[in-house]
Amino acid sequence: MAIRRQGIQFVIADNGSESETALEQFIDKPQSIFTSGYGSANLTQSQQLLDNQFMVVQSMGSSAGLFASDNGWTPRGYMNIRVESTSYYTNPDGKPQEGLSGTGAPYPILINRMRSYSSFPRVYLQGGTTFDITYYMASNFVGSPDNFSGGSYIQTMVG
Amino acid sequence: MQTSMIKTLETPVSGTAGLNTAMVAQLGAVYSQSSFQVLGISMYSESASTCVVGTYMDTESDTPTPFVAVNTAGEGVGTATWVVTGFRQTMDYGITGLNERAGLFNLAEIPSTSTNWPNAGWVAVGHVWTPSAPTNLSPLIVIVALDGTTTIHSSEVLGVNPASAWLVTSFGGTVTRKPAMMCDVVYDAQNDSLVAIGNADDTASAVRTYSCWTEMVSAAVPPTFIQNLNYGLSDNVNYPSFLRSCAIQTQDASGTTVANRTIVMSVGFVDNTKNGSWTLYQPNFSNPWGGGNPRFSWIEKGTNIGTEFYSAQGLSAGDTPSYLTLCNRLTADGEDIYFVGGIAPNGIFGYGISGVQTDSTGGGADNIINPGGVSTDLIFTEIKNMIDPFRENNVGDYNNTDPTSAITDIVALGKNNGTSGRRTKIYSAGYEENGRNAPTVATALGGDKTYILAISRGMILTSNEVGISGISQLLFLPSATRMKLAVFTQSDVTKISYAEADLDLSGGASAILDVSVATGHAAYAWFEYLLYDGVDSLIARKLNEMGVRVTIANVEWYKQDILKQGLDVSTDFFNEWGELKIEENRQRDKVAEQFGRKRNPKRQVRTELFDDYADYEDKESQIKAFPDYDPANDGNPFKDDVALEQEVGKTQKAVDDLRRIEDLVDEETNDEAEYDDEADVSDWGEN
Repeated sequence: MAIRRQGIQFVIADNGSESETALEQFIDKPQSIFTSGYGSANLTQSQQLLDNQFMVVQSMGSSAGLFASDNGWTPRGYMNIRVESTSYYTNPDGKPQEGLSGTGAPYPILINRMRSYSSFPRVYLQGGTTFDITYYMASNFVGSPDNFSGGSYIQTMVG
Repeated sequence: MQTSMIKTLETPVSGTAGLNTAMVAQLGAVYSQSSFQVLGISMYSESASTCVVGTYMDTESDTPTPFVAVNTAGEGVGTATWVVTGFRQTMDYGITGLNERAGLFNLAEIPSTSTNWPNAGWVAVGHVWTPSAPTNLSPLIVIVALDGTTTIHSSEVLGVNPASAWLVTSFGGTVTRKPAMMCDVVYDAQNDSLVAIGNADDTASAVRTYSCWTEMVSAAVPPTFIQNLNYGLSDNVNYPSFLRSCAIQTQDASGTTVANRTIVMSVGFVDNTKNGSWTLYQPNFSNPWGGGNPRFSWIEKGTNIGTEFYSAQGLSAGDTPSYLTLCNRLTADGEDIYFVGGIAPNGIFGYGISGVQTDSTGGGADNIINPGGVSTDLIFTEIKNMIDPFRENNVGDYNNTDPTSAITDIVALGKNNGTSGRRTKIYSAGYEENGRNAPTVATALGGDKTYILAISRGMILTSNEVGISGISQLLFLPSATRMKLAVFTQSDVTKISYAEADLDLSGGASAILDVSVATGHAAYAWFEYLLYDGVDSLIARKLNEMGVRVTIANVEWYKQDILKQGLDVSTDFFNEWGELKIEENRQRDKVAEQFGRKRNPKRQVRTELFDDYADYEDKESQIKAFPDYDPANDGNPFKDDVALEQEVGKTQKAVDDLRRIEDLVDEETNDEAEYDDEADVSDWGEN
């Protein structure tokens, strides 16, 4: 019987530990920070609370930044909570939305990256509930290639 | 726009000690410890195998000697099982004091489908010291199998297809020219043949050397060669002319791969008074010369006359290369780009070229080169001067504006023919001595450091972050002048092997490493929660049901509130619930009675009282069987003590009432006058 405050950090990085295929497949879709198999999400079972447990989501955050540039890469990431089959952030049509922006709720919190949400709207998870935390990253890890361009050149050669 | 620039080097694994140990074990006492210099690396495309070539110092006369080593256990150079072969038997150790090292310098991969080169994984080329003026060099050509076994295809000393006996390509017969240096080689998959480049001595002259092309059509046939008698030649014995680096394409003007449109682009050195040479060559095996002049044309003869490339591009004297050292064709990232690099008085020279075509008739591109003496139009679809970007992309203490500063290698990264993956490029910067392929005395070099740097696929952006990453990890040798790169072909993680060669002999052996290249981009996500366990979860749920925010403070407050009532924490909810229920029932009964819905019928007093008492046991059993369970007591039935006591008390009261009524009845029977207002005898008796 206890009250425990716990946190989980998920990291995925292009640092030689991930294959190019994984880096390309990770983006553009919500990925579980527990079980997706990417980065540090290496759990093999989905998250389900025991009957005698009660969870209150305190906060979520992710790397900040919306627009990647040549000199400053950002993931343009979003977090979402999925309870059973329902996502917390949904579009009006009921389909899952990208979620909580890393710019709105940054992690880590820095002097120039403070949270726009003073307190995250609490989500209560009853005992026996299956839940998941997803991270959606829109930017490309490996970037978009530029194209070679230049003027034409013609010369008469002599052998 | 965000490009895919490489910015970090990750998880390096050095193979230097491993290769040195293997060379000690397999070459024996003739190998001078830590003297090997790796000058070429190739990863086999079809399987995990890697071949390195270079030179080591032989103890017999402290002379550079060729070697080849194959990693038969996998890809890369970091963790390897080396099969090493030295070629001291191809050397004439009576020759000393040459400016050019003996060694193997480059290699071409042979696919498993080859029929002309059976069981070959690579063909490696180089040159060795032999008594043949003016260069005292002869080609060494070695066929290398994937298991590390080697077959010498040409050696002057051993008499195996000696270059002095090679026939002239297309013409046949021998001449006074004889191939000497052999610096690079490319494989033509369409024709299953090879073209190597280097130079040729004129044995009839003590000084003259020529730029030279060698064709190798089969392992069973001696090579043939051709030189240009008019251009790309030197009469300075100290600075012989030669072709240093080459690349190949086999496609028609529409880009379709065909066997009869092979073009080999080569770059090199003429002499120390001229500029770097640049040629296109069409092999006899691709487009037969028919006994006529060879099909070659010069983009730059090194004479820097007005109609040729350097002048046409308006290059200043400081930017005009004295020596072109590198010609690579880069396609893995989806862009088909030739890189041509060299050294210039003001520093690094480099050009990017996309779309190389020739027009032999004036009627449009046909990718045919006319025989020598007949002009051919050259068409570069797109061309970009990269001199300034390369000179501005500096790192560490590298000096990219020295007259010997050069790009020593460049590779493209990509997957599936450049349709996926990173699609970018990295290059290595080092130093090249003017007029030398691999100098034995390299005091003229302007520096002794090599670094890896990054450039975008389209050669638009450059970055030094990857170099800084390597410096911070101390990955680069304190003394090295040339670095060669090779990309892993079997790994899904983007990895390269690189070899630094220390040609000025001040820093010992080469460094060979495997390292992952990456952007270093990282995304983090954080999820924080409070987990209420056991009874706290029960309180949390209760608070949530009551609409109270579930916080640690609220849960503790509620818990303390319960404790203040002196009730057992484990049963307080149910006690409270029971009391509330009783009170609720009482109020409901009261209201019901007031509205006449529960008024008891008139009955005899005794019967009514006894009824309550009579069903006592039945009610008690019902209470015991109350179908509720205590979750805090392993699901055992909850004992409603309050209700039970209430019922017992009620029954007890009924019994007491009964007894009191019976007593009253008895009293009434014995002394009825006491309870009415009528006068009787007894009333008067006392008066």
